[in-house]
Parts: sequence; C-alpha cells; structure tokens
Amino acid sequence: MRVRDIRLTTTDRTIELSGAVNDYRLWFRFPGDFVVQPRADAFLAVALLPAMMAGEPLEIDSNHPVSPKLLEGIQQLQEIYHCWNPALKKVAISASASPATVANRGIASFFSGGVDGTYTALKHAEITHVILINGFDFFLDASAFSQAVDRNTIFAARLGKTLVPVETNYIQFNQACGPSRNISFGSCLGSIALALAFHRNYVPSAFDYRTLHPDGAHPLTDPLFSSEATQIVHDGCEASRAEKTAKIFEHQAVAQNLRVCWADMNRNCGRCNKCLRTRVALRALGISGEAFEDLSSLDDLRKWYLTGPREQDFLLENLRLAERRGDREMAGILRRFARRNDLKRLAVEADRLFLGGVLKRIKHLFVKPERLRVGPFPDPNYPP
Amino acid sequence: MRISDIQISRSTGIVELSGKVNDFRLWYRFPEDYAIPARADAFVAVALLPAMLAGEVLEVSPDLPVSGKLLENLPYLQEIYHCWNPVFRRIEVRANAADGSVANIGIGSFFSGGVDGTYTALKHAEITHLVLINGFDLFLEPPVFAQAVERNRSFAASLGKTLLTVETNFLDFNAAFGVSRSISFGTCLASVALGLAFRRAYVPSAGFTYAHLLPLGSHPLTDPLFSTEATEIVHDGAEASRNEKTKKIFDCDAVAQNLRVCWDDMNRNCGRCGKCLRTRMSLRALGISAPAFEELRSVHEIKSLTVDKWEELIFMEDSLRLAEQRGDRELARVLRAAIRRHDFRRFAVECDRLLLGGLLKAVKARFVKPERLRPGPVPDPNYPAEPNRANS
Repeated sequence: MRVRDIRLTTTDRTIELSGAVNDYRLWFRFPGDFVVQPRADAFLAVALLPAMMAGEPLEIDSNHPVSPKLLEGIQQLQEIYHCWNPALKKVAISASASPATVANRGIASFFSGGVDGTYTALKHAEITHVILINGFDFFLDASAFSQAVDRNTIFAARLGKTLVPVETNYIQFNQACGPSRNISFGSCLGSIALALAFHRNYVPSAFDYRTLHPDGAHPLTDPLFSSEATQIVHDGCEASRAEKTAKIFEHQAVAQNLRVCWADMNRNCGRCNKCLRTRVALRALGISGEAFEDLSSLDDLRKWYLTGPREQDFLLENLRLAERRGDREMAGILRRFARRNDLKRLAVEADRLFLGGVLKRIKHLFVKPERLRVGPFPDPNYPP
Repeated sequence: MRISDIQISRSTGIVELSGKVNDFRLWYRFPEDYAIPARADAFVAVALLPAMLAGEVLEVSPDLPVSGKLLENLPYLQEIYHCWNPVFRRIEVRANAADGSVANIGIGSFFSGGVDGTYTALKHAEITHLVLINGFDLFLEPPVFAQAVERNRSFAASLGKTLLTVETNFLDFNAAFGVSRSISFGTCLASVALGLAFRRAYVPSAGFTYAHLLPLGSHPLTDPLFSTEATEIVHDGAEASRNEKTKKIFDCDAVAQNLRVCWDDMNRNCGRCGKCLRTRMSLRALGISAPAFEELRSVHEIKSLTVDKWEELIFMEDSLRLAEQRGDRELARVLRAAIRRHDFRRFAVECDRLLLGGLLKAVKARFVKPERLRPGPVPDPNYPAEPNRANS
C-alpha cells in the first residue's frame, strides 16, 4: 500500500489536505484560517489498518515526512491491533522521519454534540477548540451540516471555545479499503488531530474503565497516535454514561445543546434507541430538562427493547439508578429487559451446548447472517 | 493515613529502606552495592490503595520527598481504581513534591523464573538487571530462597544480566490493611522499582493479553502511572499469549532449562501440580519436547485439570486451537471436554440465577461457607462472571 502525492489546496474559505492511498484520494477540509502542513502523519494514521488488513507493507512517499514518535507508536499499535484480531497482520512501514511541530495554537477536543464530547468539553477548561467532523460517523448533506455548525458554533462560543468544522471523505475511504468502523474510527480522529497539530487533542471516551473492550478509540491505542507536537489524550473513562449525563444536566444551557439522536443531527427525535436511552437515564437520575421530553409515561419504553452486551451495560446501570431513586415502575421494566437479554443468552448457550448449534443453523437458513468486516474481535459476527 | 520516619539502614551485605505507614513498619532489603535514596515514592505507591480503602487522606511527612510526576499521576490512578471498584474511594494526597533522579545505572525487569518474566527478559536486550523478590507473592524460607537466588544468578549471568534480590514484608503489610493482592500486586512491583530508581523498569504482563484485559493489579493502564521523572515503568508482553511466550522460551534449551512454573516448589518443577501440568500440556500442544519438563505422553494425566478462572479458559481454548492445528486429536478431545465441563458448570450457575432465583447457590452456601474475600479489582468478588463468550 502506498501513500503519495500529498497536496494542500486552498480555496477562499477552506484549506484541503489530500493524498493518494493507492489510487484513492483521501481528503480533509479545514477552515481557511487554520495552518495545515503538507505532512504524511494523518495518512499514516488512517492507512495503517487498511495495510494491516491487506497484509501489505505501507510505503509513504519520502517527500512527505512523518513524525518519528508516531512511527514508534505505530509499532505498538500494530501489536495491539494484531493481538485483538490476528486477521490484522503486522506490516513493515517505510517513511522518512522528521519531527512534527505545533501548527495551531490552543488545545482541541473532538465534539459532535453528544454526551461524551460535551462531558469532555466541560471537564477541561484548557480546551480552546472543539472539532466537529462531517464524514466521520455520518455524512450529512451540506445544509444539515451547516445547520449543525451554526448551532454548535454558538454553543462553543458560550463556553468560550471555538468550533472547528472539518469535512472528510474518510467514511468512503474506509468503506473502500478499510476494516470495520468499530476498529478504525479512532485512527480517523488520530489523523485529524495530527493534521491540525494542536499541542494537545482530547478524544472523548465512550466506555468507562470497567467496561473497556477492544474498540476503535481506546485509552491504550489513542495516545499512540501522538507526535512530538501533538499529545492525543483519551478522556472520560472514569465516568459512566449516566454520570456524564448527570454532569451535563447540571447546566441547562449546556444540556439544551445536547444531541444524541441517530435519526437527526440537529434535533432529538425522542424515539430512537439513543434518545430513549438518554430519556431513561434522565428519569433514573431524576433530572428533567428542556432538551428532552420527560419520560412520564412509560409506554414508549415498554415498546422498546435493547439487546446486546453493550446495551446490557447501560440497562443495568440505569436499573441501579432507578432502584436507588425508588422508581419502581421503570425499574420493573428495565429488570424485565435485562432478564430477557439474559434468557436469550442462556437459550443461545443451551443451543450451543446441548444441540450443537442446530437452532442457530436453522435460523440462518431463514435470516442470512450479516457479513461483517474485520473488526476489533476475531469473530466477525461480534458484536452481534 | 500517614507515611513517616523513612530510614536507610545498613547491615552485612544489605541496605534496608523502611518507613512507617501509620504504625506499620514496611521494609525493603536490597543488596548493599545499590544506591537507595531515602525517598517516599515507594511508600506512596503501596499506601495508595489502603488509604483509598479507608477513605482517608494520605499524608506524607513534609520532610520526605515524593516525585512530582508520581503525585500528578495519582489522581488518574485513583480514577481507574475507583471506577473498577468504588469501595476504593478517591482521596486527597498531601506531600511535598521534589523530583528524584536515577539512583542505579541500568534497566531492570521483574523476574521470578516463570513464563512472563523469562519472556520479557529475553525480549529486551537493554535489560541489565533481573529483580527477584521474596515477599511479593509468597515468602520463602531463607534456604529455599537462597537456592532460587543461586540458580537464577547463573541463569541471569548466562543472558549477560545481573540478578538483583529484594526482600520485603509487603505481604504482611497488604494483609494488615486488608487489600486483596489481585489489585495491589502491581503497586508492590512499582514500589520496588521506585526504591531502586533505575532509568526504566519492566513489569512483565501476567495472564492477560491486550485482547482479554480485565481489571487487575498489574495492567498496561495503571503500571506506567507509577513512573517518576527518574524511572519509567513499562508494562510489557501483553501482545503475547501464554502459549506464544512458552514457545519463545523453548526456542532456546538453556533458557527453558531454568523455567520454573511450579506452585509447590520454587526450585524444581514437580510436573504434577496444576501449573506444571498446564505447562506440559502447552508444550505438547506446541509440539515441543524439552528436557526441562517430562513429556506429556498420556493425556490421562491432564484429565484432572479444571477450568475455573477466565484466564484458564482463554489458555485452554488457545491450546485447543493449537492442538487442532497440529492434528493432535487425542489432546484436542481432552481439552474440549475440560472446556465443555466449564461451560456446563457456568450454564448451571446461570440457570440457577435466572430460573431459580439463586436457590441452589443459597443452599450450597449453607453447607460450604463462601470464602470472604478482601476488596479486589472488581466490586463483586464472584466477578468476573466471564465476559459474554461471544466477546472473546
């Protein structure tokens, strides 16, 4: 796999960093008032996993330098990724090394308006810039993104911070030659942090220290994308999702901006899994806020059902909180959900242990299992 | 909780670093030819968990220097421990920061003659000293320890390294303050590393790879946080499974010859205890025969092996995969049966919990009193209920 032809293109409002990874032109667009250097650090970060998946050496055109510290980190990253999933092979990297320097003043954090990014933005007064990316986990059309930018610019300004909107075709790039987003999304954040080269860049965590598991962003992997110039910090693992939510709702003005919705980036539908999960947490915490309609009737919740081991973690946490508040009605529903998940798992185990997986095979005759891409676990059917 | 009265005393051949944690005098004895600074770093490292368990301020007598970097990292360590198990509360640490410097030239690595320590010792040519501790996981009688020292000294020399022996009463200290070793053993290693103040000290990873990390006393997220300006502490070897490490060690017969994994005896491998049997099983799965261990000719010998802990399950499954790859059907059959027994047991426990509301467990507890465990890396001592099988 080769990275070459790295270019900076300036238009009246943006500066674009692009490079060819094999034949794919990957680009990142930043606001024109930021300094971006024609270095290969960002491309090394995102091309690593595609190269490991192909088992091919990764050659970076010697005209474009990469950070020696990043090169060192990449060796350790390969050990971790390979250990997580041996389908990702260790590969040789060739590149010319030259230390990176800080390109933009300030300290940045990634931010999409959700729970994790908002929590980290609140936690560190030193953060001067919050980075909102289009093309990272979703690709919004221009008008939806500009609406999100407008709203979050005002929000950031209220916290005394500057919003940095970034656009990229990373999602398409990763679709074309990368592994599952579950393992690669941290490398995209790493690449944008390296391109902007702030002195420090926070990556808000999605899981706490107790529930950590192999995942695209992880406290062991994120810091390994650091360069001499930019320290990448995985932040927020000390707090669970409910604890973060509670922190955010201490400030109504902050909570007002919270967007967790899967269906729409600019408003919370209140009905999708993620919105409901947040409304459950708020009721369990005894918080009511304008951003979300109170979960006063539990009918919505009854119709809704969360499955999978990660959802079970959130479920159990909210159950504990509801019990502590004496909210017996909601606790009852959550307990039933948790039990249903447990029983389902027990049934799968019984099928495996006593029937040799016959039921699973029969099910697959009717429902074809989704073919998933290489992810953070060897079993491609995980997470189910 | 208070750290005070740190003393350096010398007697024949030994330099002792000791200090009081409340009224308990904790000591470390090093060979006299090492420089041991009279600093409080080591004591802060081991007193952190007891103080968090008591929920008390940890106060270091103001005349005793503590590394600024260590003090800066203590809040992060506390966040991790508290998140793992909330009985360990976040506390205030009061101490005067004064940066230390490297006290001894070279690079250390912890070593007890087992798989993890040997693997790390082989992996890094830069390691100059292998640090063998008495009083860390067990306290050996002086003649037994002396024998272990002698054997490992010539082994270290054969690798061009120096064996460094340390004795400590850490185990008594740990018991006195009521913390489980499974969360505190990393703090003991850190304290010895900080006492010696090499430029770098390796902590060989024990049991878990990156793919199966669980809260544990020594962990790639916690170990480095004990580093100071002088000493970088590196958690090493989490990239390799136990079988991979064993294979690496048996690449070289002379190295394998020194390997001691035995639970019963530190100076020879009995070949019959659980750990010896597992190693012999691993060698057969890897297709290695070596003079250090009697070959596992009959799989009947390992029929008694049970899979109780998650790390044992991972090890068994990995060994099963190797046996299948090698076409060793006899071994594969026995391993599959052991894993199946484990799965059935777990299934029964889950059925009891979900369908009978834990009735059988309650009945069992009337006859066999469940062991009262000290606070460890996870809130429920019966946890980890292994992570969902689909995860691994």
